[in-house]
Amino acid sequence: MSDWNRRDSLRWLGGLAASGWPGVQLLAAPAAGSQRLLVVMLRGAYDATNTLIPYSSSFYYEARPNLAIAKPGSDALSALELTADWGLHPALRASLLPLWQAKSLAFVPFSGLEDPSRSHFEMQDKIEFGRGSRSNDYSSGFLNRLAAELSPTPRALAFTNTLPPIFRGSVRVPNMALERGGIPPVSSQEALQTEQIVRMYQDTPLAAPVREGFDTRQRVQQDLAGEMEAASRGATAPRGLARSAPRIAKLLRDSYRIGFIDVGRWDTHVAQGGATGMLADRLSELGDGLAILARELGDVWAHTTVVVVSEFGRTFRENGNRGTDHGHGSALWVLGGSVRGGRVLGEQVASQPQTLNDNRDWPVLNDYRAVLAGLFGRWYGLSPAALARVFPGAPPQDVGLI
Amino acid sequence: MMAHRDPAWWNLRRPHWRTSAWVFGLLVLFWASWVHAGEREEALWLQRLSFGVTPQSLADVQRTGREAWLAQQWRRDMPLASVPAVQARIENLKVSQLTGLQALAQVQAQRALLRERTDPASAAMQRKQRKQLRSELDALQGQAIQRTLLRAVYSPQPLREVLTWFWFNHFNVVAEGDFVLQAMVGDYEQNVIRHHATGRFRDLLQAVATHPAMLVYLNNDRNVRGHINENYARELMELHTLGVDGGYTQQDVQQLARILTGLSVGRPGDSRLPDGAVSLSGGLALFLPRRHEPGPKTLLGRTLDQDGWAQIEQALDMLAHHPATARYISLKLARYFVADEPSPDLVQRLSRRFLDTEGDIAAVMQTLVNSPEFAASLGRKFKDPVHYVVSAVRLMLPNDPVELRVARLQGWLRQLDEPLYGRRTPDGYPLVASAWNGSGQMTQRFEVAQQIAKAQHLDLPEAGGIRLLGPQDEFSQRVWLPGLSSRSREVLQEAQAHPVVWRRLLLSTPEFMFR
Repeated sequence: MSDWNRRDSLRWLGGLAASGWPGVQLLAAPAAGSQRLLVVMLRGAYDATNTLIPYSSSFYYEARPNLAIAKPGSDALSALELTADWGLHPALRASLLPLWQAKSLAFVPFSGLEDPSRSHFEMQDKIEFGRGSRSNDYSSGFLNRLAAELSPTPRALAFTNTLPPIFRGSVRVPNMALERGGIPPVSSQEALQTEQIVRMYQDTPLAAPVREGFDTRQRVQQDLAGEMEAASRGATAPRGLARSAPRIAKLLRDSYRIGFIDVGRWDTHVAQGGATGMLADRLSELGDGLAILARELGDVWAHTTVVVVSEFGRTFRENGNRGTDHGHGSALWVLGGSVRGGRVLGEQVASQPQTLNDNRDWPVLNDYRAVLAGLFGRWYGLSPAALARVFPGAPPQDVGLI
Repeated sequence: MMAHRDPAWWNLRRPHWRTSAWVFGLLVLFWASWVHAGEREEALWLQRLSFGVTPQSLADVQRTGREAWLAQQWRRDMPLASVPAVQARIENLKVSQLTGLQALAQVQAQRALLRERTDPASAAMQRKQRKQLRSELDALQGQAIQRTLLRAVYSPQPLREVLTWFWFNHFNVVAEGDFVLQAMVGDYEQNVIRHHATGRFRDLLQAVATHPAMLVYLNNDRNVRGHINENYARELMELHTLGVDGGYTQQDVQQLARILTGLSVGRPGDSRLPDGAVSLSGGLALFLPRRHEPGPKTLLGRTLDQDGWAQIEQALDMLAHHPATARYISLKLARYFVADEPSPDLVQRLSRRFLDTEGDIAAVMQTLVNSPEFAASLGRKFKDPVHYVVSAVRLMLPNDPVELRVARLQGWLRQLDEPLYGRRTPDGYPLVASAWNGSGQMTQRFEVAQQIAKAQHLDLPEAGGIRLLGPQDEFSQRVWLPGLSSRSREVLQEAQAHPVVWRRLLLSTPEFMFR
C-alpha cells in the first residue's frame, strides 16, 4: 500500500534526522500549516486501568474482583486483545478497535505528571498549563505556547463554553461550544448592533475578545451552513463528543488547525461497572465521537493528530463501593492518520503490588510533557529550543508515536 | 461628535449678568457633579454588595447610610422578599412548605417502593411510578431554583443573597444525578447555606457536614469501616477548609476518611434506630457507631482522643479554626468581593479577623467592606454570569414592584454556563474574570442582553402596561448614563429612538460587565 511506503520513508527520514543530518527534521513533518491537532481532555480522571487492561497480570484480577474485565476470549464482554499484555475495553469494539487495527491509534500507559497531588482541580490545571508540578506560573497553557511557536500562527479554537487554561496566553484563542442548535445568520440590524458593540469596546481591555467572538461566530456560521442534516445520517441522537464531532471535523477541515474539547464525568467513585455500566457507557460515547471524527475528516485524517489526556489515573484496587478513587499514572491515547499506531508505547512495568506507586496506583513512568514534546517535535518539526518553551524543563522523549 | 446643548443662561447679553450667571452655573454644576459622583459611588458600592442596583435599593442605602444598611444584612428577622406578592409566591411553593425531614422521608419511602421486587405484571406500574417520582423531583428542584432567583431579585437583604450564592458555591453540590440531591437541594440552600451565610463558619461547616445533600454528593453515606471512601474527606480539606496548599498530606486524607466513617444520611421513616446512633440536624443525618472505625486517629499531626461522633466534631473544630482555613476562606471572600488577585495584606487582615472572631462571617465581611482595597476596587470586578443576568433583570424592572416569572433566568444562566445548582464538580464555579470573559462568553452575553431587553422574554404579566427601563427615565439619566464612557454614551444616543435596542446596548456596555 502506498500509505505504508510513505510511512516507511518518513521513518527512514526520521532516522536520518536522528543521525543529525541538518534540515531533514523538517521533512519528517507534514507540510507546514497543514497539520491539525485536537486535544481531548477527560475531566475527572478516567479509569485508565479498565480502559487499557493489563490482562496478563493476575494481580489485576485480584485487585478488582468486581470491576475487572475478563481476559480476551470469544465472549462479547471480555477484553479485546491488543498485545500479549494489553487489552482494550469491550465498549470500544466498534469504534476504536478498527482504528487500532488500521494502526491509527497508539497508547502510552503509565503517563501523567509526576506530582503527589490527587486533586482533580489542581492537576487539571497543571496538565493544561504544562509547566511541570512545581511551577506557579499560570499565565499560559501549553497549547497556546505551541501555537506561538508555529509559523504561520495556526488558527485555534476551543470547542468549549469558556476559555480553558490550556489556551490561555499570548496567542488570542476564541472559544465556542458547538452543541447548541443552529447558528442563525446575521441580519442587517444585528450587524449594526454588532458594530456598535465593537465600537463601545474599542480601547478597552475586552476589545479583542469581543471582536473575536463576533468574527468566530460568523466564520463558524459560514462553515457549518447546511451541515446539520448531512451529519446526523439518520442515526439515533448521539451524545457527548459524538454529537459535536461532525462539526469539529468540519471546522478542522476548513478553518482551524488546533482545537481543544473537554469531556467530563469520569470520576467513578461508586458503581463504575465492568464490561458494562457507567464507565463502559462513557467510553462508548467517547469512542463513537473519535470514530466519527476520523470518518468525517476523510483525507484530512492523514494530517490530523488527536491526543486524549486526563489529569491522573485511579487506584489500581477497587474501593469498597465498586468504584475507584483518585490515583496517579494514567494512559495517553494518540490517534491520527500519520500516527504509527497499533502499538502500546513508552516505559512500562508489569502491574504488580511492588510496582505500584504508594502501594496504590500506577506510577508515572512517562512524563506526558516529555512525550508530547517528542510528538510535537516530529509533527511540527520544532527545534529543541522551541519545544523547551512549550514544555519548560521537560526534555522531549520520542517514544515513536509518529 | 456630541451635540452641544445650550442652556438658556448662555445667551444672556448683559456682562454682569453673564458673570454672575457663570459663577452660579459653575456652582450648580459643581454641586450637581459632587452629588452625582457621590451617588454613583454609592451605586457602585451597592452593585458590589448586591445583585445589582435598583432605584429602590439605591434610595434605601441613601436613606439609612452604609453602616446601617450593612447591619441590616446580618439580621435574621427580615421578610423573604420586598414585594408582598413575591413573598406569598415563595411561601406557596411546595418546596417552601415541605420541611427537609419530610422531603427526605418522602423520597426514601418512594425509593424503597421502587426497589421492591415485583412480579413482571406490575413492571409497567413500576415504570409509571418511577416516571412520576422523577417529575415530582424535577418540580422540587425547579422550585428551589425559582425561589433562589426570586430572592436574588427581590430580597430586602441583597448582601445575604450574594453571600448565599458564594457559600453554596463554596460548598457546592449538584442537584441532578440523585433522587436525594434533587429532593434536598432546596432545603440545603435554605436551611444550611442561607441560614448560616452570615453566621459562624464552624456552624456552617457542621450544618453542611450533616446534611444529606453533601453526604450523598461526596459519597460519605458510603464511607464505612472496611470500605473507606475518601471523596468527602479530601474535598473537606482541599475545598471547604484548608485549601490545596493548606499543609495536609495523603496520609491526612486517609485519616480523615476514617474519622468520617459512620456519618450518613438520616432515616426519618425508621423508628428503630440502632443502638448508640446519634441523630444529627434534627434527623437529617445519622452517626452510626457500628459503621465507624473505632480508635484514636492522627490528623494534621494531632491525635484525636475522643471517639465516635465526638471525634468527628473534634476534627471539624480543628479544621474550622485552623489558620490555613482562615487564610483560604479570607482569600476566597476577597477574590469574590474585591479582586481576582487580592493583596496579601488584605487577606492577612481578613484572616486575622477570622481567627480573632472564631470565624464570624459578618465580622470578616465588615472588615472587608471597610478596607481601602475594597473602596479602590469598586467598578473593577468582572461580573460572573449569575451576577450579570440578575443585575440586568433588576436594572430592567420598572420602579413599581412587579411579579417576575423567573424560569427564563435559569435558561440564560445555562446559556452562559453558570446555572444554579448545575456545577458538577465540587470546586464550584470559578470566581475570576478569566473564566468568564473569553470571546465565546462575551458573544453569549450580548445574545442574552438582547433577550433581557424585551419585556416578553422577562415573562412579566401582560396586564398593567409594564414598561422596562428606558433612555429618558430619571434613573438612566441620573445614575447610569453619567457613569459611561463617551463611546458608550455616543452609541446609546444613536439608539435612543429604539428602546429595545437601547436596552440591549446598555446591557452590553463595557461598564455593565463590571461590578
